[in-house]
Amino acid sequence: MSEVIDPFLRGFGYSPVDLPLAQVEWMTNRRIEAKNAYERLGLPTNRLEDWKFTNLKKLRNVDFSLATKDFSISMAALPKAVPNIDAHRIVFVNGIFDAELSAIGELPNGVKLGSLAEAIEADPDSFENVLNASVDIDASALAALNTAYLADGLYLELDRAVMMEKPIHLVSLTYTGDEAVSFHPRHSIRLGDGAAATILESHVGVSGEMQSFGNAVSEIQLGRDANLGHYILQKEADHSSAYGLTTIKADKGSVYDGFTLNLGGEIIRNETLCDIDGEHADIRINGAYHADVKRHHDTTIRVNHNVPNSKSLAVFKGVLGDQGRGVFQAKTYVERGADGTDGQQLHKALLLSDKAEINAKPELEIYADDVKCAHGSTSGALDQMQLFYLESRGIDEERARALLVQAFLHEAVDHIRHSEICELFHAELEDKLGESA
Amino acid sequence: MSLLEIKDLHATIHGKEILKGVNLTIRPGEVHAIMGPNGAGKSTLSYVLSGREGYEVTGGSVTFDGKDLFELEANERACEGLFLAFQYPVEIPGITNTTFLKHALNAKRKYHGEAELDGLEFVKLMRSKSKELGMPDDMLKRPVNVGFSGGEKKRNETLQMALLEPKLALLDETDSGLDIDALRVVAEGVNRLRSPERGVLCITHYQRLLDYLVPDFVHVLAEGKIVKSGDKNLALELEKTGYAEFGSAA
Repeated sequence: MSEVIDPFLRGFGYSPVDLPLAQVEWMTNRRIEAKNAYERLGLPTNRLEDWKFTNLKKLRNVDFSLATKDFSISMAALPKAVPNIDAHRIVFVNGIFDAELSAIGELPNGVKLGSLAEAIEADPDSFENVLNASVDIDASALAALNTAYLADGLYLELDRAVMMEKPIHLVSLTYTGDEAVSFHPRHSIRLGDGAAATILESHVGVSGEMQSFGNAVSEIQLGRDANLGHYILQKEADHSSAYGLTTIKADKGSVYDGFTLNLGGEIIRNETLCDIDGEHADIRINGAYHADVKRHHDTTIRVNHNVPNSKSLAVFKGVLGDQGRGVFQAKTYVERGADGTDGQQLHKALLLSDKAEINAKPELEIYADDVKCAHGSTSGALDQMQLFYLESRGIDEERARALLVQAFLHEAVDHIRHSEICELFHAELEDKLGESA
Repeated sequence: MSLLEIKDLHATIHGKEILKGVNLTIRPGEVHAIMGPNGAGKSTLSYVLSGREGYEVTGGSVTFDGKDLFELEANERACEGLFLAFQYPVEIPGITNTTFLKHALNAKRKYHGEAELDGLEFVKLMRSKSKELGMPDDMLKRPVNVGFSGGEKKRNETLQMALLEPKLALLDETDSGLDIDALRVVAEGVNRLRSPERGVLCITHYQRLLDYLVPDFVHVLAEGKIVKSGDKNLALELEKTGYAEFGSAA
């Protein structure tokens, strides 16, 4: 085999026998298969249509170490930047479960929540057909890479009709010591028919001196009439980059309320791939981002309406300051016969500097006749009339600008259906924008 | 001393001269109305006085409460006590009315070296003012002017005025788009603010608002100049004859 020049295979040499769970045969086979797929595909470049606006070139020359259990970091307490909410807390440091920092607490009957590695170890066979059920390693290099290193992550399974009262707080801490680090968490989330849960995902950077690359895959499966609130708060450090692929399989009548608030990081791409396989499913993939300094925030969404009478909504608002860059690519695909589809996309960007950049590509691909689909994208500077209105009431220009920027993003946050988390995200926004105002 | 003294004011927008030598003096306690045909420069006058960007003052002077108005930024003019009630109040999604009003009031207090009000003190004050105006509480929680009817927007302007207690209120076509009930409510709000120390400058195309807001002086602005002044009877006269004699349509 030719020598691989790649930041994620080069440094430490790929050796599946040294990875956790190497004793599970199907796992090792699948990892090798995935590694080969990754080698074939290579790290995405701008030549790929899907990656036209997001360049990972910067990662190519970094000597990434793979985060392992041995390279564990002991932290006395959770960093202050992690939101404090009453929840079942499960903490991962560089993708590896940290029992000390976690506080899962008492779980209702019919709920399995914990480390995926531990769950697989306990019952390997039950996961063989679950993992990668919705991931195509031949189509996504980074998903293949994730599979090649698949080791740990969140495992959540709710039995039929189980409703969780308290949210689950998935805390993902990125820690870089003397070395640049990469990690590849896999989260497996399955809700049985009529089950309901709320997940808050907090991504927090602990140290920002060295680079990091988190490459996560979350597989979400929603049974009939299941309801999942999934809220992601991203506060990575300035040198941390991350890719997150979320796949959602939605059965009849299921509801997914998703919101991503991107506030930190360097190159961040959140990709969501949703298959609506049952009528009356209601899928909401919303978010807001604030890309200041040199941050790059990419939101890529694909929703497939495979059956009639389902609904999807994607509303994103972004503020680009300094040399910030934003990317919004969303495709709503309506299959033949999927009549009665309601698919809406809206992206609004606010550009605060001449050097800021936005690339928006909303798309509809419709093969059914009777649908209600729309997409829209706007970008512009602050509204001069709003600015004057505030100034005419005594508010100075700097404050007025800060208020309008906040207002722009707060409006998006209001889409969150979970009231406590909605308030939390408002507060996080104020926290961040208070600094720069 | 006069509250507002406009002397030979000339102003342009995009290089086109709109105000061509306006003279006007308002003393404390007085209510003035400026009437005039469309395109006479009425709105330009209110924007030039309140400091909106894009208007260039090319001549003359304006003194407000002893200070050179053009030395002050728009927000400083507001803090000094000038209030513009907008013809079309601006919608600001994402900021609640309460937050907006609190920032405005505290900006003024800070400007005058007074302690800022905390949330509780502010809400108490705001509630008492909004009650006087018969404003429902939910209007305070909603985003600024978003989804408000025309009447609600103007009532909201009146509430801001009541809170900020300006020395001079500048009402720009406040009656436009209102039904008769809303017109009454807004006029009452302005009348409640009238005092021997305050002045009001009401800019309007129609006489009807002046039935409720009886002015001491009425001026006709046409083609960028005040061409005629009189008392409230001048407004009634204009209502009958229109603006034709001042060389303009409408």
